[in-house]
Amino acid sequence: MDFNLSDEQTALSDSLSRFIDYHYSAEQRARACGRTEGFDPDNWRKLAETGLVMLALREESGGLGGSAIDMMVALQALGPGLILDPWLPTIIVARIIEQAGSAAQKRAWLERLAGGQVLIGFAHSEARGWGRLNHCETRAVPEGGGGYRLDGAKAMALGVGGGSLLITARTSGAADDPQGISVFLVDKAIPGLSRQPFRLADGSVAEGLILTDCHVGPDAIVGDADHAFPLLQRIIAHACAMLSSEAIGILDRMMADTAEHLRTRRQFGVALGSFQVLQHRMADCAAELELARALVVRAAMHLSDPAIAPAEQWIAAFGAKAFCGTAAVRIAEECVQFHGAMGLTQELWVGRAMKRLVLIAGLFGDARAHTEGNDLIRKADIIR
Amino acid sequence: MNLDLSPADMAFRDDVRAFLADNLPQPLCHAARMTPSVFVEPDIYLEWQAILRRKGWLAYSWPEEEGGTGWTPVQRYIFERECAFAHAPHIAVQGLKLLAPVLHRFASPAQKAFFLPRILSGEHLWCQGYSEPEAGSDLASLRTRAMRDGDHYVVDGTKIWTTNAHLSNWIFCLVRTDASVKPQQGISFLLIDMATPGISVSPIELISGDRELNQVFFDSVHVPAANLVGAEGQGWTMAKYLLEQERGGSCQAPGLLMALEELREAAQTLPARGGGTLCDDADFMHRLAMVELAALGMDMFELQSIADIAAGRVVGPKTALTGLYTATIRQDIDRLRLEAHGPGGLRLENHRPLYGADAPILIGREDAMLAMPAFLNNKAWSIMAGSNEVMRTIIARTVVNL
Repeated sequence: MDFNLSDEQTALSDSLSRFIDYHYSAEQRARACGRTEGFDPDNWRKLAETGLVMLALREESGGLGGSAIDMMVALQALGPGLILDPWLPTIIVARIIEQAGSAAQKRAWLERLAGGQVLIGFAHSEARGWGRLNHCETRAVPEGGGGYRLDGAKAMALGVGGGSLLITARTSGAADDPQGISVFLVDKAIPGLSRQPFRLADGSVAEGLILTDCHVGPDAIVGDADHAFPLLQRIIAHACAMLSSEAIGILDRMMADTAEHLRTRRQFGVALGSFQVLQHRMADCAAELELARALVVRAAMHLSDPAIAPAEQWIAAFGAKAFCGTAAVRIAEECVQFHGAMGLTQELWVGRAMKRLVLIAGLFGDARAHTEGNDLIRKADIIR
Repeated sequence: MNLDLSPADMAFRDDVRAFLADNLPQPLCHAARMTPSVFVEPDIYLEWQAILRRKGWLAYSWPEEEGGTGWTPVQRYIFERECAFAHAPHIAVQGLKLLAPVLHRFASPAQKAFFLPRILSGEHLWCQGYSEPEAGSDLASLRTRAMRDGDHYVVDGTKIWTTNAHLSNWIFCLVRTDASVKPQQGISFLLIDMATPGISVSPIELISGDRELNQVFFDSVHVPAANLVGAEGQGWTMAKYLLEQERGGSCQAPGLLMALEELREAAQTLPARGGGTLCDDADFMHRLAMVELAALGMDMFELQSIADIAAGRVVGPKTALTGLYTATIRQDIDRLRLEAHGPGGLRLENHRPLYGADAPILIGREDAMLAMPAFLNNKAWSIMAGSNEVMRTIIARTVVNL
């Protein structure tokens, strides 16, 4: 048993913390957020140049072959920045292309994606999906010549500002069948695609998509038709573990900030922290945070361990996000409450952080979606 | 980062697992599962202790020079974890795990030679005399007095919430030997034979129907001065030493995980409102899943603490959280189980034991009979050994730094 970070992991954490210090002051973040795409492309290139996306890619495709533990370390360090950059859709898209794409697709995209030079959005979730990865009503009907006709709607495409989108669509089966889902790489200029950008809670931008009679060529499909579900499960499970790690990074800063506030803010002639009711509520927050942290470490360890069956790895990752998201929202609400009216101002970090945490809790499904049908405790697993 | 045991620890775990598979009698496991109170009945734990003793594993938490196994913290943890997964009954902690470490560290050679073998043999059954009617969470305010009179102490006062005092022949007590100094400094650690004239035990009726806790009265009880452990005024130090020994090395999550496994298994067959089985009740299953996650998180948390101890690192103040976790998760499980059994869980059977030839007549499911008394008894978890409120105050001070 070893719960320590390696020297490399500590260095990774330090360098990303420095990135946050240099590039994510409140003013810098507000400026980036004010742009149409909701982030600063220059900043994103700089973050990509630290090797964040490369770390998520395998060595055989030119990546750094980072483990889930490495990614946990990275995202935890980035957390306090409340970063707006499209690391999430980029890593998801890059991994899908890496793990399912053709040699030509890999050549065309992977390196530039990893360097932050191009951006591809990711669109899977739909209005009736509730975070179930098997849900996909958008249809892709084969046409003559190997192309497809896409029809449907996507509730939230992440990663705005690039020229392309990775869209899931159903090539066979009914709305909730795991079998029958495929992935398509679609140019945003394609006729029949309408996009409505909207702001998410943290100020980043997503798009709603409507696809009406969109014709794509034979080279648009990524991987085999009908078989995208296991790929999505694997890659979204890793994404959920990363989002949970980011939440832990945010929560650590939030607890530290709030404790500092309670030690220094004086009312009724005493420090707020001298009131037992606040002490005990903070103790409960600390207790919940430590459980969440332990589950995130567990998920990262499971995802990094080839001896554990994939399905169990994913259950650990989704479970971590279920617990982490729920705890994050509860702790954030408490911390905002303890800051009084100041906690409701856009000026203070704690309120902005709560918005990112609420978003994390709901991305790719809420706690209910993440636990549905999953037997979380496996004897084979706990008796290891 | 990895969760792997060393090859030596892995081999040790296999030994423990094989031993349990071959030597743990199933009736004892069943009895342990069907015991709604915190501690199992003496006939159950004594039978199990005798088996462990023959193997040389009863004193698994003792150092080798005191007749123990001399296991490492990791080995002790593995042993407890495997016992929990095998549903082994708990051993009698009062003598083996609460008193023995104090004797190891503070007792005279004569005291060790007399008491330690009798703890192992089961000849002495111990109870713990700490809490008093006016000294619960605020233990340092205890008032039971021990006045030196020649080669004896004369003890007057009362102890309360004394688990199994009615079954014990010895009690270890914190007593006040000096009222003129700071409360913590006037406390001493005294070993008292329950057969001494002047001691009386009266049962405390609990809401669960279990007969487990007592009040013990001391009326001019003459205790040989030789039964004082360490020096006068050292009692508080010893009580704190014991807490430090316990801290960080806990192994509570595996038992909780097993209870959750059983509940999930029961959900496969328990009828749900609106038809089907409880597995079809998405709301219940989600709440069960969230408690499972908390228990899995706690399991990792305990593993990390053990890894720290094994690596010789100082375990941080965060280990104070385990008490809060154990109580909260335990009670969450009991609440869910009560709900799971629906009307069947409303029965409160007062007869004990709930297993064996003398078990009450079975109406419906056996586990349903356990739900209510366990729910009621396990309210104790958030009160005993430092209430949740005391724990939160400690956590706020040491973890949150308020």
